[in-house]
Amino acid sequence: MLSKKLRPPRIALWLLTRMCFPDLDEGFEGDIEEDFEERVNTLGRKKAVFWLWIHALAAVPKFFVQTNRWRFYMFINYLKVAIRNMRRNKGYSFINITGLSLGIACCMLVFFFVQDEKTYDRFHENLDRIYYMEGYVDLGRFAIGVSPEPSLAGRMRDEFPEVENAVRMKKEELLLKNEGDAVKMNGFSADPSFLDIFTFPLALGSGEGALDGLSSIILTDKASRILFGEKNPVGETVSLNIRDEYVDFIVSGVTQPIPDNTSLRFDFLVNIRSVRGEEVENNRDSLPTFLLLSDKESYGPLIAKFPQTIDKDLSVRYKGKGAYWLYPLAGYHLDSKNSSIVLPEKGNIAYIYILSGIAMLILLTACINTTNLSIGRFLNRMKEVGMRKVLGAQRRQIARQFLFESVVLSVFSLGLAFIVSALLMPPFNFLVGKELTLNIFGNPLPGIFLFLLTICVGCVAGAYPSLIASRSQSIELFRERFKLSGKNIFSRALIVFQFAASIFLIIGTLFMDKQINFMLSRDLGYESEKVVRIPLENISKDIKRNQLFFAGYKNKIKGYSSIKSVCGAKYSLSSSWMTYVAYMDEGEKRFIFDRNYIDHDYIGVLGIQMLQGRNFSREFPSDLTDSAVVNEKFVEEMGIADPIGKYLGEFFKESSDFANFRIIGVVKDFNYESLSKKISPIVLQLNKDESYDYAYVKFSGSIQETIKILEREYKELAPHIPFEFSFLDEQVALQYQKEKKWKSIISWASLFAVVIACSGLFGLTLLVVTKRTKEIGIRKVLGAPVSSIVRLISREFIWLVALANLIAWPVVYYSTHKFLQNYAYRIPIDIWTFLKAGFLALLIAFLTVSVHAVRAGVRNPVDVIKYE
Amino acid sequence: MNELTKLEEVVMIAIWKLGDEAYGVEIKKKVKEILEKEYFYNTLYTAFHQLVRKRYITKHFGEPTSVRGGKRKVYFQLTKSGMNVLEKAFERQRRIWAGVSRESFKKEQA
Repeated sequence: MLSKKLRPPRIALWLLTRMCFPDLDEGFEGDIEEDFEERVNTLGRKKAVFWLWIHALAAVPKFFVQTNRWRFYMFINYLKVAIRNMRRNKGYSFINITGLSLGIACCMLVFFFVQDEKTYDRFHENLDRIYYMEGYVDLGRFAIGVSPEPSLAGRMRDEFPEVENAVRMKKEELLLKNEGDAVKMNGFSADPSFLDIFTFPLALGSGEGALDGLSSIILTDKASRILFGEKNPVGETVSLNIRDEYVDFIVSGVTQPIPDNTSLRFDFLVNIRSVRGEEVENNRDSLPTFLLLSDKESYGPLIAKFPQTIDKDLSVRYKGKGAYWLYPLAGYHLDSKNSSIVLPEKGNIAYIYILSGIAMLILLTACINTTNLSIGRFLNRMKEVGMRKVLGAQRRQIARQFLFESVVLSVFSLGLAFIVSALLMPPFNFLVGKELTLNIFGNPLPGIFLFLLTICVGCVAGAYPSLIASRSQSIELFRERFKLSGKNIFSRALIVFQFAASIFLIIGTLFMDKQINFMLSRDLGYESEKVVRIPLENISKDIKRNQLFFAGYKNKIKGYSSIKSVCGAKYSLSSSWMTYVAYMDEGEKRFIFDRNYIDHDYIGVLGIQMLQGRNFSREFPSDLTDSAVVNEKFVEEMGIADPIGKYLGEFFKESSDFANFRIIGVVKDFNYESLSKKISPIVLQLNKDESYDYAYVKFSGSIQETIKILEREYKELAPHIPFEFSFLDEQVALQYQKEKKWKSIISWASLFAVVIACSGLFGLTLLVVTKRTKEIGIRKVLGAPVSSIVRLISREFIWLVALANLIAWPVVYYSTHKFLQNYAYRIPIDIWTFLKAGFLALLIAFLTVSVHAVRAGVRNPVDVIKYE
Repeated sequence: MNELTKLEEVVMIAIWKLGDEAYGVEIKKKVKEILEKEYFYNTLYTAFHQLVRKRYITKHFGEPTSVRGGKRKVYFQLTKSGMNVLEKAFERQRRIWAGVSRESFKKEQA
């Protein structure tokens, strides 16, 4: 028996036998073993093994070159023929390549979008161990979500071995000042463990203890650039406006650029105790808390411990049945089920589906072009295929050739698609609100995706032509008597699909457009023109000072002739108001309404109509403390016959804070929120302390001048606080920004789909016309007018487009219906829009077809008949 | 008639020179000695395979021994037509190099 030392490594030996021609005998292996033994004896085993492996590995490429050589030559031939064909038929190649590259480019854009969405927060090293904590308390009538109390974070870390670390954090919106004007920035005040749990490496400053100091601040690189320009800010001071006082902080670090796809968005980080002082530890408060688990598997065991421990405390604290939940940060972005207060920005998985669907639709339309055109072109290539068959090409090889040709086509398109997508990227970025780049080398995924996509596109587009080409008999091919049985139905079905997709997108665009216009032009119940909204929240967190500022500001600007009137309110129009849930007297019936604090002039300035009773008035000082104005909806839902003079306390149980408020007036319903939401019952009250978060200024003069006045007076009263403003009508329109963007995306998509479908139709008509040249000539000789020729050619296609309409309509109806369900106030789905889109599609198709039909019709029959 | 590749030619010469001892390992050594380049067994066996197919050489098995993992040796032998081809190849080589001797190179270099 051979000693183990002398036995060659088995894998290498196996590889060598595989990589040689199959007709081997035992001499081969024997020789290798003998040689190996000799080498072990003279050079040592290590060298011998190395020697064998080198040769085994070298054998692999050699083997493939040898066995595939002829296949390779054949492919070179296919490539040559494919390129020749493409050059000979420039028109068809142009249609094919532009269509496919447009389709591939759309897929590329969507791919980068999806990749960005799917890799949200991936840059955190501990992502799979980061969870945020939220408690739910069932109070019987309803449940509330609460953040953990401040002491819980420490308790979690100390008492549960599954928890490695914990951080409490709170969102802060503060004014930051270096030199120059103060800038409003968003940030977090957090425990120093923030930096250990999340991965935000510092570019400048040391990460060790950067958040420990009570006057340390970490800036993101963006914030640092805004405040300090290009210079190194570490060690410099920055003042933060905390409760109306500027407090100096020392910059202890600057983060590296943070990826755009992060759920945690901030400009600065400070220690949680520096903003809130020792109050932080006040256990009546609650603070959003994130946990870092010690390993991935500890989630289950940890959750299982909650009912026995912290859940009990939660129940006691809120006097209800409480339970804590842990939500993973991974996948948070696209998970619709949970949301955290500190991470407001969320994605929507529906967008991914919609965008992918649209991109696939466009790509499929382009693939159909290629399929149809290459079936059509096949008639001209019958001789080539016949010759190949006679020379011994097998069915498989013909199929492979045709597949290969369409893959070549899609590879060419891929090249062009890079240019197209580079052009489309900026508008696409604008529409989806991202900053995507065409980075295909950053990670292997885009490369793999594009490779597979290209191959798939080639195979899908080439599948049917290659089937047809390979199954045809050579004798038929030579006689060119080939009847493409079934071809007509298949090709036509594809055309119907193309146009159905286009019509689907066109009608979708039309309805979206109508809905947006409807929402923009609808009378909202208040006047939004020539009204400026100025936020006052920045002025001060202190009620007294806010009130002083508002009163002073109002007085000053009222002196100008171009300013008509000024009013204030707690909550802004075109945004959500504070929602209240109250319990009606009888039974457990809930009554949900919105509440806003306004001033005496609000209703007058905004032109809100009073239906009954009176507006708040300065003549009645008691209005401040005991009067309320409600809207129609309130009266209607409450079912009050004569609302004026009724006390709110009559309707509600345990509503001590407005039990003594009397209804003094009823206003007509107005849409203070987006039109996607129904008007809720509202209660308007005066604010006792007359401090407001928003001022509304109605003006009559020129816009520039008014803004100048407003800013000047603002700066005079509050020199250190940035002046912000917006126009109310713009603010209203801003609510439908998202809809507008989606409309743009879909209208672009429908444009692409229509262009691609038409270019396919264009190519196909040309084929039909060429095929029937002689027939047309003879018809003309026999006296057919041009119009009848055009009818002859276009009839067939027009029917197809009409059929496409019928197929598309139910689908469109369904999806439009679904889409409109999102809006409380919506347009009706009318048949006219369908007819309009259908007619448009027919017209476009007819025009496309008639270009060739007319040209064929007006040709001199003599030229036509003598061809051949 | 098929032409021989360089490697096939050298392999045949090696088999001829080795006589009764012409099997893989020895042929490999001989080829290396002649061409001063190592050809591995997969390449050599491809050449053997081609030569057998062209009937220039034949192969026969030796007795199994305890070395070589118990596998038999495969011996190769030139056939008649193999000898003919070699002879032709030799003639052709001679014609190609006719009139050239070692001295010619030295003269050129000088």
